[in-house]
Amino acid sequence: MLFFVNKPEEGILDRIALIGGDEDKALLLAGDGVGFGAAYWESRLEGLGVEDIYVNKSSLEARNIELSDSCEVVDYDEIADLLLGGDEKIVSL
Amino acid sequence: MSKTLTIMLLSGAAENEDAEFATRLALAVQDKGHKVQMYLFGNAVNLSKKETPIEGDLHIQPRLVDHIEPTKSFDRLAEIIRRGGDVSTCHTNEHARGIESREYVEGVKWGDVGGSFTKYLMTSDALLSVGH
Amino acid sequence: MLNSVCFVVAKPLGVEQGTLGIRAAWACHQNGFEAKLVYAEEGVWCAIGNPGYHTSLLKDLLAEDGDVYVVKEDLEKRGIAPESVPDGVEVIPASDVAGICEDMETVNYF
Repeated sequence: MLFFVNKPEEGILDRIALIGGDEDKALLLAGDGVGFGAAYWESRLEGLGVEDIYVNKSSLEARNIELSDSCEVVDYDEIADLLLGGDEKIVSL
Repeated sequence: MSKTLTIMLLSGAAENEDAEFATRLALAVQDKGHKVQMYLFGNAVNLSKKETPIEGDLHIQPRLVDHIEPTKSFDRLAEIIRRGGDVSTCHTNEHARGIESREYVEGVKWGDVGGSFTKYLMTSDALLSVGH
Repeated sequence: MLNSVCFVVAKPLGVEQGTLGIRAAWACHQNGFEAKLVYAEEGVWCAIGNPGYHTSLLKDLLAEDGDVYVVKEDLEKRGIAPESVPDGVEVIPASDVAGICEDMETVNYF
């Protein structure tokens, strides 16, 4: 299950738990959502069962944010692969 | 194998980065040989209309113009269509904004959620909603 | 082709996106998609039988056997009695939402 997150509100984490349940989860962070890539959120995301965190490169470059080691920076063509390369369910939050 | 992504965009050009993200993503998807369909819903319908240029001094600082221009997305939307992307609007949301009679960016289609959006879903491999 | 869609309305009544959420659900339902509509967070304010367009479309959706749910805990947080929800809307615990979404091919918040 791939969650698209483009907002910084903490309540997004509740949505991930609500929709995702026990399923494996990955996050695609863009815009102000890239803040969830900071180390501060790492353990909470782990607790939600988030295994992969992808961060939009241009959104990151526009912000002075240091990512946790669990993040992978992706440009637009890699995001295209994430969205269309597999059969993961996309959840737009 | 070519696939099809439908993007439901719900934000206009200036209120956040959604339109810029969605249009840049759409171009990247096309670069990879996939198809793109965009449904402009809510404030995103503002992107569907041709810009009316201002003549003379903008009375905007150059650095602010530089900040604004990439968000406007009209040119990228036209390029998405030029490359074969299918873009349509919710005309009801245009009506709600008093812009339904204004001229579309070349290639944008008048549409509605029951016709255009559901037609897109029928040929989509994935749907991404981008809004706030 | 996507055959099934879940829409979650999380915006309150006065925000346009709540209306867009139910319109999308109605459009999909009418065109033969398996569509589910969930009211959560502030979106529960849209599901309590208010006067106006949202409730009228909700009643149409229910009359056509649409699947509509509202999250019980989000009603409780706002002091809304479950009885305020129109007949046909199923009040469900938050723990059931994941199961509802499990079979849907895409989930989209409004």
